[in-house]
Amino acid sequence: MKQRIPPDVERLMWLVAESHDPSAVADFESRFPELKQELARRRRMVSELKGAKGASASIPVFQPRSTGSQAPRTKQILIGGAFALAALAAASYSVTKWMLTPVPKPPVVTPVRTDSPMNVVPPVVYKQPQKQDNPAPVNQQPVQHPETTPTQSNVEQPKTVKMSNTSLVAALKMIGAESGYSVEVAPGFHDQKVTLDYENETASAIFKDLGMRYQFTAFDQGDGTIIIVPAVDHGGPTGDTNGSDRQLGG
Amino acid sequence: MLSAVIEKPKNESFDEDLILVERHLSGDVLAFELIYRKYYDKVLAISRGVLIDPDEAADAVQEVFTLVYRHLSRFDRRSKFSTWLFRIAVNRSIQEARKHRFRNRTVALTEAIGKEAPVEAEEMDPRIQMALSKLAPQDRALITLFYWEELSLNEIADSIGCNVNAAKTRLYRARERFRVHYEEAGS
Repeated sequence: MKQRIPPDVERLMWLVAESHDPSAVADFESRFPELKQELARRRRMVSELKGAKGASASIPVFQPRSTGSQAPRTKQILIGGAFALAALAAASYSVTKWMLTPVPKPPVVTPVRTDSPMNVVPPVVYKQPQKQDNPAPVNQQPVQHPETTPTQSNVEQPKTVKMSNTSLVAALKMIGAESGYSVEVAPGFHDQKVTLDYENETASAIFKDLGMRYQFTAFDQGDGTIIIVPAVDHGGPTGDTNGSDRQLGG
Repeated sequence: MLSAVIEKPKNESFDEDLILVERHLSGDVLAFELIYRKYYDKVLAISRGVLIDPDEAADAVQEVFTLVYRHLSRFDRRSKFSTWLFRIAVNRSIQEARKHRFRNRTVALTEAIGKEAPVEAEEMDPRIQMALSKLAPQDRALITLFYWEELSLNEIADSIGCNVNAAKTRLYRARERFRVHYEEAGS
């Protein structure tokens, strides 16, 4: 078992070991002969430790480099740049998607010729574009013209209507709106694509003709509303003209 | 009289460093080159003592001188330039040692298997290297400053940022730990 060296002797031994004074070594060894080997080990250790310093063969050229404090800044710039790129990519994707999405074309406005001398400004019928894939919605409300009022004269005024490949319901509503009526379609009415070509025909005549062709009857409710019923009364009474309901073109 | 003679070179060195610092701050390009050449070996020794690996030490030296180059205007001139420089070297080397500690542990096996050490790197005594490597970076810095740079306790205290008594205590403990590891390595 190794004996414990007193602290003061320990300090003295280190001083001797680190010094290069042979007389000090000899003096220590004479005073503490039992520590002679320990002193020799420590002198060797100090000598080897000092000898391990080494030296560089050549001094490289100094070039200031980016300091460590700039590393986090670079990291922040990289992270920010990544976010910016991601945002740019998302924006680019959104813009591209928006540009590739087919924009629904506005309805083509075609003038409807009328022979009425009262209408100085020709009324306008909104016509669905011919190349539109989706059929016009059934409940589409036509534009109401303020100058038109649901009067008997409007219904009986001759009109020219030309439409192709359009919704029957939409066409009926357009014709009704042109005459100042709000057209309502009864449940169960079968809408379909139709082509209309009427020249100098009254609205009631058009409704009747269409009713014959597509199996419906138009009733004037008397309050500016026309109801389209999916039924045809062949040879029956034409309705009470004095009542609230009146079959158009009957 | 004797002490005045002994102190004289230190004062000249201090003054010379200060002059070089002033020249550098006034725009003299060559002044810093002279500082660099004068202290390169000393800073390298500190970095190598703390980091052990020669390549990492050489890299750390460039980092240290870059820091000094950029922040030389912060040198307050109340202490010796060399002490200020060594303090930067010690702190930077310890910082690098902590950073590379995990990497060294993982890479050591790979290097031991087949990778040869750089030819130009001067090999340290394996026993010394092993004992040093088992010390904490702070202990290695103390050992390096005392045995390699042969700084006084006052200078060591300034370099590691503590008072003399603390430096003395820490140095003795570091030396004792080194001795234990050194003897373990030899047995």
